[in-house]
Amino acid sequence: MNNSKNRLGLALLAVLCVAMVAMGIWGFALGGTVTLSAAEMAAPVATEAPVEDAAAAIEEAAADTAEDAAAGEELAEVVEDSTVSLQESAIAEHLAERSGLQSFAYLKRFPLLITGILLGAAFVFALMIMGKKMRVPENLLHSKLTYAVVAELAILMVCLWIRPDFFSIRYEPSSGMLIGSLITILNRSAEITIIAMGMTLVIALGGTDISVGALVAVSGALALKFLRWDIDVYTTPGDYTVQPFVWVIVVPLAVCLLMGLFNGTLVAKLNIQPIIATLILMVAGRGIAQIVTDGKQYTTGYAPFQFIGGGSVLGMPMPVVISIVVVAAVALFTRKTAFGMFVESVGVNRSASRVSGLRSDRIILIVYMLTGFLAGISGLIYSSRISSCDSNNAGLNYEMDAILAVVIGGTSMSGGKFSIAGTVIGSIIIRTIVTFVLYFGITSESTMAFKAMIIAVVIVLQSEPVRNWMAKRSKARKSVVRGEVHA
Amino acid sequence: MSELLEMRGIEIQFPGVKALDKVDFTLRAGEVHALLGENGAGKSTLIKCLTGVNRMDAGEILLEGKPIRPTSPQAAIELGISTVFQEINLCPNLTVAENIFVGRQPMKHHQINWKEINRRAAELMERFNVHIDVTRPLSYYSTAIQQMVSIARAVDIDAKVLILDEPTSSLDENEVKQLFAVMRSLKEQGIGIIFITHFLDQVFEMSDRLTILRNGHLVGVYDINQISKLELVTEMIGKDMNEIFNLKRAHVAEDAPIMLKAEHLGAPGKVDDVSLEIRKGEMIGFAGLLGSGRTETAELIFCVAKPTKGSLEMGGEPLKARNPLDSINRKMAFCPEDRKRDGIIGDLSIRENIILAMQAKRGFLHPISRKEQNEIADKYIKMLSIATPDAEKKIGELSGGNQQKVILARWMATEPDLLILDEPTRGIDVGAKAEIQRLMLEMCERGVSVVFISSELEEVIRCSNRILIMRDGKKAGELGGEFGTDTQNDILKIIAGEGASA
Repeated sequence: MNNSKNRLGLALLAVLCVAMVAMGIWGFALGGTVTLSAAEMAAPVATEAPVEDAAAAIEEAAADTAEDAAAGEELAEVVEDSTVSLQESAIAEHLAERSGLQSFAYLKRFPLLITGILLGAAFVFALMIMGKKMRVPENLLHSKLTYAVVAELAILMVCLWIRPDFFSIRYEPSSGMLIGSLITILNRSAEITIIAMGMTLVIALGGTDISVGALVAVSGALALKFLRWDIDVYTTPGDYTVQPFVWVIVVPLAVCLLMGLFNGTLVAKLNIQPIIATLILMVAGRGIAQIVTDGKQYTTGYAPFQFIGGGSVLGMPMPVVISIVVVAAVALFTRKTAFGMFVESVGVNRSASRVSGLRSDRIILIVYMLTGFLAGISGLIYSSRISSCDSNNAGLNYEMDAILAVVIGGTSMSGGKFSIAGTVIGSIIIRTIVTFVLYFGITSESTMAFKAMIIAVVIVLQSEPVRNWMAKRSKARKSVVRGEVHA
Repeated sequence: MSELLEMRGIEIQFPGVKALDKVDFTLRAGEVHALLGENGAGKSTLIKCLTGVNRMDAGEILLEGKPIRPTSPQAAIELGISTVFQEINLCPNLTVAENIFVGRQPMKHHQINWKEINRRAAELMERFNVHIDVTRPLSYYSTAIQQMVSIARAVDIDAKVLILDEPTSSLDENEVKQLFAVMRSLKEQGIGIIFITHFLDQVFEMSDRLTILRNGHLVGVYDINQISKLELVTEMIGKDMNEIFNLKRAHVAEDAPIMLKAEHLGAPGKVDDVSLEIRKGEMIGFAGLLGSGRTETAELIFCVAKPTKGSLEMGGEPLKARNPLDSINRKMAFCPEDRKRDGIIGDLSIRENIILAMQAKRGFLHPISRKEQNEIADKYIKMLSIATPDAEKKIGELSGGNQQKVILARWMATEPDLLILDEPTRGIDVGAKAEIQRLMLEMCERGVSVVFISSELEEVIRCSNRILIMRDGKKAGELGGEFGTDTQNDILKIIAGEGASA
């Protein structure tokens, strides 16, 4: 089933991409008019409370000129960060209130929702038809990925209802970047996507690596340490680095690689249960990060470093580019060589794999090292985004998000078959939910609970009884009887 | 005797296949009734139907004259139909007593009455003539004892019908005797036992009657003294057995070069001082009881476990392996004894399982192309007649015999010079067994040396050129030349420690 499942994953990912692009174009067409009305609404509100003042100003700016729109988007991005949660909640409340003011807006957008639901239904229907033709409808309806994609599309539909301009994507000439919610989702999901690539392999081996979040902090701390080595002399951050820039990149990655090696050694050679083995660095990692930076939060203004998280290539934000490269590299490494099969084999049955000539120790070591390395890349992106290092909050709960992304993507926690494409979808879903929560106007206190609620729905949708039920229903309906030998 | 259980006109339709077609089955109180047939003949389906796992499409089941229709295993148990499966379905980390009473613990003042549990468990095991400490964890005891515990649990739930599905496949001779004693005492208590096994000797030793199924049809019901073994096998597979049992031993030239030479091989606690030589194209059999060091010797040769003493030579050159991969690189292959644990990669497809060792040999940076993989898989599926719709089916979904063939294919694909087969025919039916033996001999003809380990002396004697007999981790003797009718007795004597080594 290996390849057929893979192809399924790729096909679903492709469908998702095409759907997003299509909706983006559609949203673009709609976007202009709605933004205008939003700007009209923003004007009277601006005279009210001072906090709302600031928020409204941002909105106004976003609508006014193209140049300011970029700043607005950037601000909105920053808003998502926990560091400015106060502003964020203010904006969220403001948005909620504003939607209340224009109560007709929802009614106006209702046709959009209907269209969305129809689109979603058409998508599912298309899958079924396709399935019947290919004679694998059961397969498809049994696949967790199908439900993941359906869930993602459903969330996007609701986003579209809330904000009709949700899918609009603009090119911003001044910053040379594409701007839009979809781009933002991809951009902000980069860290988790990259980590989840390693986590997919770790989980395929039947393990987990809960140290990745801490490694993100270590990587960021080391990068900033090397940027601002002589902190006593150069007390203010600026556009300079004390060490050669290559060290700033290489050292954190090398250290994370070694930490991955440490994890791998504990798991492969000493047979320590992965969750315990990686717990050590999960606890120690943030401590190490603190030691590296003497417990301070260094900041920097060095442009090449900021480029990692804030720059763009051909309009694509740099983190998106990096994550695409990483995903492609991991996919090629696992599927174009026999490494993926070896990982699956060791994950299913380590003893039998050894007897068949696999060097299971070595495979486990490589996977944990890779995961450490990818966590390092993620750490560089994160610290570059905030132009600083934060030992306490960098990569917080990333391990859980990464595990969740892998699981939503259809890889079983008990090891075995894994799906790279599935993990990418999983990661995008998680970020979509966060974005959705922000746009929905949920206050920041209830964000986590709300996120959990949606994830619960996705997981239930993917659970085996539900999938079996769906498959059974389709089976009952179709008349084709497949020949199958039962012992 | 009265009919305890009657199944009439059972029909089960699976998509595309009629798994059972108007099958009748009766069981009397206090009899052991063997249910026989090849893999896929419908034995398990019939049992699953009786225990409520599969729903039947037609037919009826009468228990003590009353119609029943169990809808789940739990419902079947409540009706008095208990099953003991081949794989022990107990929790190894709980104590024996806990295992027997889990889920129906006697309570006292809303708390579990541990005293009562332990007392009743001890009594129960005592009744089976098994004297063990019931407060020890189950994993402390041998497979046979674990099997007894699982029978004890089944019987204690007021069973009227007890189904034993391959209970003896992982037991050695003494343990089998112990189990049979228990079965006899259960018989006396008036329990009807349905006995499923591949060991025909045991069928003749234990059963009163037998029912034969073939391809979902009822072939016949016989009293045990009505039918001979040969007739039985012929009925089971539906063709004449002579052809199959007429396998010819491999011919080894006097001057054939020595393929493998082991000298004073040993590892503490496993094997002590085993020396042997195998010529090109020769088949050497290992005989001995379970735990006598047969498997351990094979593992030392293949370097699954590293030998601490002695030396190995492969093809005239010294072999110093550090892991199985080194051995594979020196053109050795090893089909392990425990197929589930060391053989199959359950979640991977047949194709992937077949190419695994070959790919391991090449390293992951030199992948076998998908086209080549398909060719290899298809070739071996055809060659070994593995029963599967295609190469992409998960190996875990195949029957035992077909899994074994896939493992065999995995090693044949590496084109070895030396093939070690540890219990390749365990738990598979007569037809598949004969086929595997034929394949082994074909390999010998092509110049592959084969080490054949089996608990069934008959097949070892039938196929091997020489037989090495193990006892207590040591080589106890070696027999060569022509084997006659008394060879089996000679071997048994050596195993028992009576005869001198030849």
